[in-house]
Amino acid sequence: MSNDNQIKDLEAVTDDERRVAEMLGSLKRVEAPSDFDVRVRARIAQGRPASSNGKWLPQWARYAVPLALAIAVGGYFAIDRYSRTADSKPAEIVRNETVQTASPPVTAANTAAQPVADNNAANPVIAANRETASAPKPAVPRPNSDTDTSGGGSFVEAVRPGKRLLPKGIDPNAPQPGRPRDFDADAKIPVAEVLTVIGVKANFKGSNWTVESVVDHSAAGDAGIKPGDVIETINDQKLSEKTAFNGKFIGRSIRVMRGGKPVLIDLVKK
Amino acid sequence: MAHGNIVSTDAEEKDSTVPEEKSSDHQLIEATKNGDEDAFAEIVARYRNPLTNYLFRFLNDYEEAVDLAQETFVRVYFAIDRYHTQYAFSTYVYRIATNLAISELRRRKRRRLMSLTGLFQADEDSEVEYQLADKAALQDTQIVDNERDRTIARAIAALPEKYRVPIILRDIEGKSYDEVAEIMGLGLGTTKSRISRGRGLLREKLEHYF
Repeated sequence: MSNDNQIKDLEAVTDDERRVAEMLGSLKRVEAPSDFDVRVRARIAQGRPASSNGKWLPQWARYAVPLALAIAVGGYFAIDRYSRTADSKPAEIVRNETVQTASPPVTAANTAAQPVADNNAANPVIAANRETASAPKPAVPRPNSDTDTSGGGSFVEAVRPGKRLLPKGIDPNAPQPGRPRDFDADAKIPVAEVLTVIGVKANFKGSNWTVESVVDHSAAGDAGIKPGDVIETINDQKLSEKTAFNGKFIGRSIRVMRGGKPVLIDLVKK
Repeated sequence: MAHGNIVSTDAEEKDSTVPEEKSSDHQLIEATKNGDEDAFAEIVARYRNPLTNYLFRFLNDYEEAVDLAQETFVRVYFAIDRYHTQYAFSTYVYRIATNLAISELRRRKRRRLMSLTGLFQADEDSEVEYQLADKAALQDTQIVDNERDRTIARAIAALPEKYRVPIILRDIEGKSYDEVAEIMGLGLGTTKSRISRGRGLLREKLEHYF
């Protein structure tokens, strides 16, 4: 701790370092408070110093926190593993169902593809692959390499029904909800509206609807309905003044009397 | 003792005084081991001011420095049977103080992080600690009486630990490079390199004082 020794060391350093060292050496020194010794003795009298590690935690928490963390991590992995196992079971069922439903057409197609597969029997690798692929599902077709232009990839992997990947909580075997009823399922559409929609302006005279005019390029106009036609039926349903059609109306045919002769007009474009 | 042989070389005046002091330290330690409380009080009286000054420059917090200096002596007292006299006592005591100061700095960082996140509620003990933390300016104003010293103190406290420790030991406490290396448990070359690098960093921070 000699100043001479320090000065000798400083001779080996740069001027900048020397000035920094001198500046630090010139700082005022602080001293311990007057009751320092008393406080040291008091602390010694209290006993051994507690370990500073984890001082900010209560005693019970020093053990409880790591234990809780370990349980949480372990529990997470256990639940995750269990859920993966549970999810894989319905996926297996789906795969089997898929195979069974795919079997009939496959069998038929396989007959045509068989010669191609037989040509590969001499190759042990292809033969082994074919056996591996077809062992649990014997009726898997092989594509005709001459006509198949779908590109590369493993045939075995391509035709094998894969495991369906579904989000957690989605059960593929859950009953499907029924389709919602159409809002207009019970609606009644008056014949006047139907005629307007297909482009016919008609009046009910006597006991029939008589065409007054037809809108150009409408369904009726394109089908050939003409003014003066007397409409007898629409979709084979006889018309009265208050005839109404249930639900969705899809115009298929109209029968009219034209010049005293019945004419059947097809509304569906061909 | 071996120390006596080393001192007999007339290379530096320092060598003729330090081993005598070390020997005296060792005698006091032996006396303390034998139950002499006055011997331990003499050790405390001998090192309380250097240790307090060292820790104050390290932490830039007087109250904390005093607290850790006291803690250092408490630890020395309870571990006195494990102390081996082949090492210089001053090295031993400074190493304990350094470790305590580094732990304190890490605890401060943790507290600051906790106070930012607000994850934990402070219990009674930690409330006291929170009050002690980060209020160095109050003691600075009482002890360091001019702006220049305060700026230097802040610059030292802002140094990374690996530069701060050797700089304080060497340039403020006046330890030799060998002693600094021994306290830090590093090689002499590494110690000199760190001191040089630390001075360079301080030179940049305190440029307007040169």
